[in-house]
Amino acid sequence: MTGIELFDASVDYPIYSASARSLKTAIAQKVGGAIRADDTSRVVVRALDRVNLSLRSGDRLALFGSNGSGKSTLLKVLAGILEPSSGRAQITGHVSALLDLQMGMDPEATGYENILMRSIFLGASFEEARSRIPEIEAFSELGEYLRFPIRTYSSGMIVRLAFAISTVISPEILAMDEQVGAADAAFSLKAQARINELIGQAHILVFATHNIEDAKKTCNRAVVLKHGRIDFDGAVDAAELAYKEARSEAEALSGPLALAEPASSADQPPLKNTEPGASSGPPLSGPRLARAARSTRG
Amino acid sequence: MSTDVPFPAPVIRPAPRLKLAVNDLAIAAKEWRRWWILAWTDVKQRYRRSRIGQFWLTVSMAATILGIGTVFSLIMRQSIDSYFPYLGVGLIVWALISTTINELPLAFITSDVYLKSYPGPRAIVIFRTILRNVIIAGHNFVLVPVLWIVFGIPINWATLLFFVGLVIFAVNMVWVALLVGTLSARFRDVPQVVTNVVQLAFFLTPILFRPEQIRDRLTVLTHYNPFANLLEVLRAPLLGQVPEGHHYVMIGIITVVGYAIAIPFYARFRERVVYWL
Ligand SMILES: Nc1ncnc2c1ncn2[C@@H]1O[C@H](COP(=O)(O)OP(=O)(O)O)[C@@H](O)[C@H]1O
Ligand SMILES: [Mg+2]
Repeated sequence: MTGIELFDASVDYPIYSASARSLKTAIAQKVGGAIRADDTSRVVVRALDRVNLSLRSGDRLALFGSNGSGKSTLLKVLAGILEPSSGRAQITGHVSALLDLQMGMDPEATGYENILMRSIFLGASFEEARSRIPEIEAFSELGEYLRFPIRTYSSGMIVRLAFAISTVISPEILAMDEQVGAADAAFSLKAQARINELIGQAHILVFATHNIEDAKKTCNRAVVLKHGRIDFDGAVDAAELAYKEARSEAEALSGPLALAEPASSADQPPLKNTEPGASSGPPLSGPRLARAARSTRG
Repeated sequence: MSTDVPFPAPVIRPAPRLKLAVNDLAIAAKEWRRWWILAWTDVKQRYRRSRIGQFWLTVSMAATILGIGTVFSLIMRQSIDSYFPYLGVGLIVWALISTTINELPLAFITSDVYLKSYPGPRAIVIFRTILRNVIIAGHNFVLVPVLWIVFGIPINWATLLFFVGLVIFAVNMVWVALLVGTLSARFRDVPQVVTNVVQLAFFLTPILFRPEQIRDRLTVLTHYNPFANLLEVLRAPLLGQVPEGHHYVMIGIITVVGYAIAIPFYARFRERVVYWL
């Protein structure tokens, strides 16, 4: 059964100074006893702040939020690429993440080698990977270029290839970031058609966007992220208002930079299930949530 | 899609980290295609950069054996016939052990792109590093048959024990990687520490000298030194000899202790690794 459950999932990106990267310094501090505050205070960016989310078959979720609100991070967690630094993520089903398409391509390898490699990483066998080559060749329209290392490609060409490889099979869970499909106009049309195909076949869609009209067309649920928290969870129409509000507020405030202090319990993320029909999954009870929480680790 | 199907209420327990770590290794082993293709691409790329360069690996190893062999057989009053193959096979096996251990701390660091782009077990990049090193070591191992022929080393059933040694080697490299790979992702000066340890081990391990030469003194170097035990289960078979039983016993103990330390360590920090990259 395809499904996604996040329980109090937080993501803290640690920011290390050069000296914090040294084992020698770390040991010297332990042994020497004299600990300077500036060396030990660990700075983290809290990109997701105790997110609770339950998705299941049929959910088409639009992800709104201003820049830096944590959309890409949330998609990475949903795709299983990033494990939450505290809390828990349960993902059941075959996920395909169309995030940063150029990532995970080997610049030194040829187009064909990249087709093989990426296909294998997306779960194909060697035979399956090879059998997909004609389709990828045709879709990417890269012709002879596929014989060359992809460092000789333009970034648009790399995106085309990555897109063609990543979308050749349809996943159960499709996670898409906002800029996917942003290639040249002709390819963009084809890419859009392919994406629509995938969306139609996916059990669950999560898709980050700024475009409310797009979301209204494809989605039946929307989440607005604000400083890494779920600020709104409900119908797309109702999200429009919350999102505009969040966007204007975000302009006034800067990013969610915080020192590694345990956040106070007053900061409980507002979980709004305003539309009973639109949102799914059993309501999460208090004690269960508490047990799901894990302490943040260093 | 119907939304009225009740989603099975998930059971939430504190994450069983130990199980996740063991699963990571088990799934990585099952997903052999991933590390196979990465290792193979690594090797292909080295060739693409310089076809001749790989050939020079072999030449440089041959020159080292010739140089050290000539001088040390004189210094240590050893007959060339017995010292050369001993030294040659020893250096070739040592090259495999040392380059692998030197690259293990970089296993996660240099595979950051894959770890940050794809879900799946992290340990695939450990297997990638080990496999790549085994394949590259093949360039040196072509010299082994040359030594066999020139010095008339018997090839027999004992020779096959080399493959047992190779499995023992790979199994041990995994726990080493779990420790130093994870630690290096967080502390970037660990690779240098490892390099220094390996450098020192070269002189403390019976490669240039023979275990008999230090008999009754420093037996710790020949009996308890993990490097010596690992080396011997690979070297002796290639010299047509069965490694002494105590080497297998010691390496067995080292393997068990190694995993007993490395698995809980990896379990503790596994999901942090991607954050550190
Ligand atoms: N690798 C990283 N290291 C440190 N901070 C990061 C990293 N990735 C994202 N962040 C921070 O996390 C926050 C959320 O980022 P992101 O998920 O990319 O937001 P969005 O996609 O909504 O723009 C931002 O403050 C960003 O600066
Ligand atoms: Mg983003």
